[in-house]
Amino acid sequence: MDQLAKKAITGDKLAERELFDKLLVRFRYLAKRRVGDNDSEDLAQEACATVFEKYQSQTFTVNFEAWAHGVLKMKIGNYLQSKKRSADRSGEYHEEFGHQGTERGDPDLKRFLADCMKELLATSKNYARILNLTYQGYETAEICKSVNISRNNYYVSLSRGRSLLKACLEQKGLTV
Amino acid sequence: MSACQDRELGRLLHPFELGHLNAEETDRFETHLLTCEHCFELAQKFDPVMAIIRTDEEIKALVAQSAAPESDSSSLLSRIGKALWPEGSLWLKPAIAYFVVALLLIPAYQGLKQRQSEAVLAPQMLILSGTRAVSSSISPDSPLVIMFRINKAQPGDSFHLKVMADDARVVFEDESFVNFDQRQMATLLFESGLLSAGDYQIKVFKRGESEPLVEYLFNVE
Repeated sequence: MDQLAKKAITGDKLAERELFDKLLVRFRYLAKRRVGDNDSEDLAQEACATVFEKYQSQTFTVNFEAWAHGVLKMKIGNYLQSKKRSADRSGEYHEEFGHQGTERGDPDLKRFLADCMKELLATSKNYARILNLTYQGYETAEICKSVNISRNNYYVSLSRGRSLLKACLEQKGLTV
Repeated sequence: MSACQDRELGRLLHPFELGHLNAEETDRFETHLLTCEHCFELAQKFDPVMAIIRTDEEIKALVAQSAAPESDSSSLLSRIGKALWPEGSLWLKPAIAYFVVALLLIPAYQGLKQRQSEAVLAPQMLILSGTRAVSSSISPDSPLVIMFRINKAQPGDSFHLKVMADDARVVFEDESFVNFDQRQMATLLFESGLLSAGDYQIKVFKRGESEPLVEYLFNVE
């Protein structure tokens, strides 16, 4: 992406188009994770527009993607603050990192996922414990301490769990 | 899709999806996602799955159930062990141990008592002579081993043997008696109760002959 940005700055229109196509898709994904479905599209587009306006005149201290990510983060931060302020007035705001609202999800995916999770949790007790602690709001260091595993084993357990889950869902005909 | 070029950051993918990363790690990984096709594609495709894992109550219940401590699903043996050896006060454990040992000793004690009342009687032995009748204090209640000689008996020979009471009743008969050794000594075993008090005669015939080869007399009192 840094290379694309350098080309776009020199006036390469194709590179600029490719850069912003890629950036928008990624901004959408990241914004959705932070604020949920409702306003993620607006936030992603706003952040992209800001990057588009300023990137040619910007002096990047690290690289393009770090700066672009900073722009998105600032947009999200402002959005969350404004939402908090308005909710404070009505007394309804509950801060929750990342995932606003409840995902309804595809019913088939949900059913298959429940089956696969049963298999996975039966084979990997560590994954079950890690996931359970995640629901309780613990962070990585606390989880490693609680499950009594090293950080490396924690990565291995998670990676193995994710791979097994993915393979199981693919066996059931889902593309994930 | 080429593989992730930054292995250290690449392994933060699933912790990121689970929301495990701290603010600094999250920034680093999100920036990585802007450039890494591999990780971004993996994360994007798996996002619907992660959305369910993060929020679905059924999945959360499954996870909570699976992550329950081992003791909840302990084996039957350990549960029996716990029932027999409860977490009680310190004096209770030796008391239970003594009680269990005493219970185990009861059948052993009863067995010994029974064996004493049912003493095993040693077999009696009677060696017969061809020259005269043998009379001794043979009890009909004990097993009886009778030994006698069959002259000229050879290994492989077979004899017709009869044990007759004094009323000519045959109490034992073997038409192919071979139970004798190289010194021509024959051995007969009678279980206790087979012979009642009285005079008995042992007759040994060569097969097919009516006249006995040898005869012995003995008496049971």
